[in-house]
Amino acid sequence: VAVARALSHLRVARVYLWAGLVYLAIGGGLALLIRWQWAYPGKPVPLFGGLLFPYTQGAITPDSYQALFTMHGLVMIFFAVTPILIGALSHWLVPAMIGARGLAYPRAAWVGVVFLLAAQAVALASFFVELGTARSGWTLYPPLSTIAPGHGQTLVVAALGLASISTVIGAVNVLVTVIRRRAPGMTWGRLPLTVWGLFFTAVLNAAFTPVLIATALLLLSDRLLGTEVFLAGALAQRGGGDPFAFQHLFWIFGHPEVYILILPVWGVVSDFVAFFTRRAAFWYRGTVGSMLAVTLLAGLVYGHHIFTTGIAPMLGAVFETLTLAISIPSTILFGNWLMTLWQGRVRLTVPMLYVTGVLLVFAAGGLTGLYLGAVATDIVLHDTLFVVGHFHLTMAAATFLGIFAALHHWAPKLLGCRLGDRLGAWHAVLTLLGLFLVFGGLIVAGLQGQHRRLYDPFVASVEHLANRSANRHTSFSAFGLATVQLLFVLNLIHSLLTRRVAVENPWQVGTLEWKEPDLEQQVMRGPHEFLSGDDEKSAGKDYLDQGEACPQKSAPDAK
Amino acid sequence: MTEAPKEDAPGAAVLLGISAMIFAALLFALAMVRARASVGTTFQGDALLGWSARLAVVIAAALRWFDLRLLAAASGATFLALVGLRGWQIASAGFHPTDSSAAAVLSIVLGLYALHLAVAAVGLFSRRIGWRLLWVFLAVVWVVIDGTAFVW
Repeated sequence: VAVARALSHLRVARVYLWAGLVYLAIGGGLALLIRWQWAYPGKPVPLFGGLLFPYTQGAITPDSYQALFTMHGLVMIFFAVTPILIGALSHWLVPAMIGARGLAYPRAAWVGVVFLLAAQAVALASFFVELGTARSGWTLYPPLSTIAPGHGQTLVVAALGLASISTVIGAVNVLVTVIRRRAPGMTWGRLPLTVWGLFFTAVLNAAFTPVLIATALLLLSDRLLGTEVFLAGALAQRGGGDPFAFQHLFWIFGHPEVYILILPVWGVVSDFVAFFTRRAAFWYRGTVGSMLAVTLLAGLVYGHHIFTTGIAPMLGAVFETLTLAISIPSTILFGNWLMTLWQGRVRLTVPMLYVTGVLLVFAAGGLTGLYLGAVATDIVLHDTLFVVGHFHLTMAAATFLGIFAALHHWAPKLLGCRLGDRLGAWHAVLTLLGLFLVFGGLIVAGLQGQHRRLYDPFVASVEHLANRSANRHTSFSAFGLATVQLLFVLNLIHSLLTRRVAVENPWQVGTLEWKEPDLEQQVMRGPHEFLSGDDEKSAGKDYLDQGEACPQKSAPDAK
Repeated sequence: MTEAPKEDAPGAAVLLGISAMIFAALLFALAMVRARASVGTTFQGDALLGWSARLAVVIAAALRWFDLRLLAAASGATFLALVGLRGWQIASAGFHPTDSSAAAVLSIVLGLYALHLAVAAVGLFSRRIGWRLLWVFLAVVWVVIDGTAFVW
C-alpha cells in the first residue's frame, strides 16, 4: 500500500510535468512570433505564417499581436511554469524528500490535475472561437478585458479561474503533507531547502491565489452578467464601478506570484549548491529565514506595480521602502549560496551548470529590479522594455534554468531514466548564453526608451528607428535560444526511448527521495552532510544519508 | 464534549484560509467600488433583525463547536430565517443585484456565503474538527459581512 501511494503522487507529478512541457512549447512559440514582429514588423512570418495568419498572407496584424502578447504571458505563467515547477515538483518531491508515504490528500491531487487539464483545454479552445483569444494584455486590465468582443476573452478568464483552483488544491496538499506527514526525525531543521522553497510557495499560493479566483469571478460577472464592477465613465451604464480595483486585486496576487515561481528555484539552488560543492549549505537557518522573510514581505510590496497610476505619494513611498526591503533577505540568500561555494569541492555536473546560470541571471534580474522598486526611476522606465527584460531575467530565465536543473537532477526518479550529460551540458551553456542575449537585449532596448507594448515600435518615434537592428539581433538570439531547446527535447526523447538506466543515487546525495519508500524511515540528520579525509576513506563515500544511523564521522565513541 | 479526530485540522484551516481570502478580496472590491461610485443609497434593513441574525449564527457556531448538533441546527435554521426575513425586507425596499456594481458584488458575496452554508449543512452531524471550524468560520464571516457590506 505504501508503495502504491508513493507511485500515485509520482503519477500526479508526471501528468503535471508533461502538461506543463506541452504548454511551455506553445508559450515559447508565441514568444517567437512576438520577436518576429519586432524584427520585421508587418512582414509575413516564414514557414508557418500562412497557416497561422491565413487572411493576411502570414503577416501578424495588430489584433493578432495583442493576442500573442496576452497569451504568451498567461500560458507561460499559469499553464507551463506553474504546472512544472509547482505541480510536478511539489507533488512528487515534497512527500519523497520528507519521507512521507504519500500526499496528505491523494484523491484531491488528482482533482487538481483535472482542474489544470480543464484550464489548459479551455485556454487552448479560446484560440479557435470566433474573434479569437484574449487580447487585453496578460494582466487583463479592464476596460479592455471587460468590453473585448467574442468568447475568447471569457474563456481565458475562466481558464485562469480553473487553473487557480488547481493551484490552491495543490497548495493545501503540500502544506498539510509537510505539516503532518514528515517521517519521524524529519524536524523542520532537517528539511531539504527545496522542500522549504516549495512549502513557502504553497503558503503564498494558499494566501494569494484565492484573490485571483475572486478577481476572475468578478471579471466573469462583468462579461457574462452585464455587471459593471470594473467599468467606469462613459462605458458604464448603471453607475459603474472601479477599474482601479482590478489593478489592486490583480497585483495583490500578481506580485506574490513572482515569489511563488522563484521560491522553488531558490530552494533547488540552495540544495544543489550544497550537493555539488560537497558542503553543508552555509547558514541553513539564514537561508530558510530569508525565504520566510520574502514570503512575509511578498504581499506587502505589490504597490510598486501601480506607481504610475497616480497613487498617493505617501503610499508610493511606503511601497518603495517595502519593495527595497525585500532586497535584504534576497541578498542574504545570494550571499549564502556564494559562501557555500567558497572553498567547496565544486562538481560541475549538468544540474550545477544550470544552477550557476541561475545565480548569474538572478543577480542580473535582482539588480535591475532595484530601479523598478524606486518610484523615481520606475516612472521613467515603467512602460519600457526594461521592465520586460527585468522580469524575464527573474521570472523566466531563473525559473527555466531552475526547472532544467531539477529535471536533469531528478529525471531518474521523475521520468524513470537518466538524461544524457553531454547534451545536457551543451544545453545548459547555450541556453544561458541565449537567455542573456535575449533578455539583456530587452534591457538595452528599454534603456533606449523602447515602449513595451507597441505593435510596431519603430513608427512611434524616429529615435526608435535606431533600435531596429538591435531588435533584430535580439530576435535572432531568441530564435537561436529556441533552437537550442531542441537539444533538451532530443536529450529527453533519446533518454526515454533508450531508457538510459541511472545508477542508484547518481548524484551521491543523502536526501530521502533517492531511497525506496520505507515505512520504518527514521531521519537522523540534515539534508547535506558530507565526509572528507579519513572519514570519507573509511566510509567509502563522501556523503551521509539523512536516514543513516551510525555515521563514521560523528560517532562520538569511535574517537 | 467528546474528543473529535483532529488529523484534518491543518487541511481544514488552510481551506478556510483560502475561503477567507476570497471573501476578503470580494469585500475589498466592494469597498473600492462603493467609494468610487459614491452611490448614496444606504439601507441595512431592520437593525434588530440584523443583530438577531448575528447572534443566532454565533450561537449556532458555538453549539456546533461543542458538538451540540441538534441545537446548532436549530440555531442555524433561526439564523437562516432571520436573514431571509431581512433579505425580503431589503428586496421589498427595491434592492436588486443589477441596481449598481456594489449591489452586484454584494450579491456575489452572498452567493458564495450561501454555497459555504450548504457545505456546512452537509457536515452538520460529522464529528470531525474541520466541520466545526467551518461553522465558526461562517459565523465570523457573517459578522464581518454584516458589519461592512450591507450598505450599497
